[in-house]
Amino acid sequence: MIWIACTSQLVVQRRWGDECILYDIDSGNTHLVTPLAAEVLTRLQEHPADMDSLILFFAAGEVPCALPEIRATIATILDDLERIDLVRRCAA
Amino acid sequence: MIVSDLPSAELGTRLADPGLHLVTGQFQLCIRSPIPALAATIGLMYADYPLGNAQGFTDFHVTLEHPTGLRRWWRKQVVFEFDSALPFKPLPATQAFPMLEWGLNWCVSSYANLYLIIHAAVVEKNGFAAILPAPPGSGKSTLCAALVTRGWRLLSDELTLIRTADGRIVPLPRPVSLKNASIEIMQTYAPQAVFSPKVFDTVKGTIAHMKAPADSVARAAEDACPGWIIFPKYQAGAATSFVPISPAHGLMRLADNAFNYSSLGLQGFETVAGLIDACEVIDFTYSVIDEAIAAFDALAAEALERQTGKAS
Repeated sequence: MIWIACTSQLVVQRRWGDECILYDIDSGNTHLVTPLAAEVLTRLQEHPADMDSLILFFAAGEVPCALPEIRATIATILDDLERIDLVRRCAA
Repeated sequence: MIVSDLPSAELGTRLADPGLHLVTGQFQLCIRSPIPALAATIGLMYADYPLGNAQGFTDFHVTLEHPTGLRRWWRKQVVFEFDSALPFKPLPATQAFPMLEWGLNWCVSSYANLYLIIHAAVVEKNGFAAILPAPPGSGKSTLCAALVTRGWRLLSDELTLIRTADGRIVPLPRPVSLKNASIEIMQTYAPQAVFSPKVFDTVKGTIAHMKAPADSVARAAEDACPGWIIFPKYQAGAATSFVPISPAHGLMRLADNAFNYSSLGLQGFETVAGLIDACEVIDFTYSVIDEAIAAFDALAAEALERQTGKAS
């Protein structure tokens, strides 16, 4: 299963410290997310990806024992982004 | 020429027909009404406002009159008419002045889309504006009324207009709406201020308006730089306190309080984000008005000091 951004360039991002706001131009909705969630969305806007390749990308340089935590964090982020209609999953 | 220059008989005559043209901030209004009690309250509350040019462009034409039918004689009512439409249900005739104020707020918040419009009071000192968004019952109007009787300039007690082109705040000083206990609090706190007669049993309880300070009306063309977004909350017995809010949370709360954030689209988002960049965002709790004013004065003094420091 791969993840795809629902919009390509139609989300405006503003960051303040460890918080980020996404403004979806299509829907007019505004969302408060973490900077990592914004990075995941940006990555998916550039390339649709499956979970393993997202983990490979975001875990670069991390020690192997951190991988389960990173996987869980990214899974939660994807669920949250899907819930606010910014990403969707589809069959590979 | 200002409204108080008109003899009271002429004010009533003009209001009845063809209508009184007056200027509030950036807007010219034409108010038409044959109701004598309304004329008297308009004469009291709008005494300092410039008369408009009847031949010039008028932003909002409104009429308040008694409806036709049985209600002309029995439990008299009043209707608010805007561009020949009746956007609201009739109210008891005694509520004509609050209805005028609510109707004018509705006109501005529905049609003035050159501005991002936030449901918030806004006051200014030393060139910097404090925006006070808050739900009903938070003590926003009481705080606003108290501040403008102690040296702060009234920009608006209800609608903060942010010009989308440059992010500056455009004044719309009109009478300050006070509810229930706030009326007596302000009458005691500022006995020199002018208040409209109390109107009982409105949907918001008892209402009275406090006249906008003449200086604020005279300076209505002077825009202001946003300085603070302060979410006020009156809490009996609480100590006066400022608690900073993160910019992103501030943006979400401010957007929730904007009337036309969605309809302005990306421009609305960029305007709110620009405002967040320009302002300190704060939760403010208070119970003693004098302490609240001292806290606001300290903010204004710090801002002035920073500005003077930058300039030198």
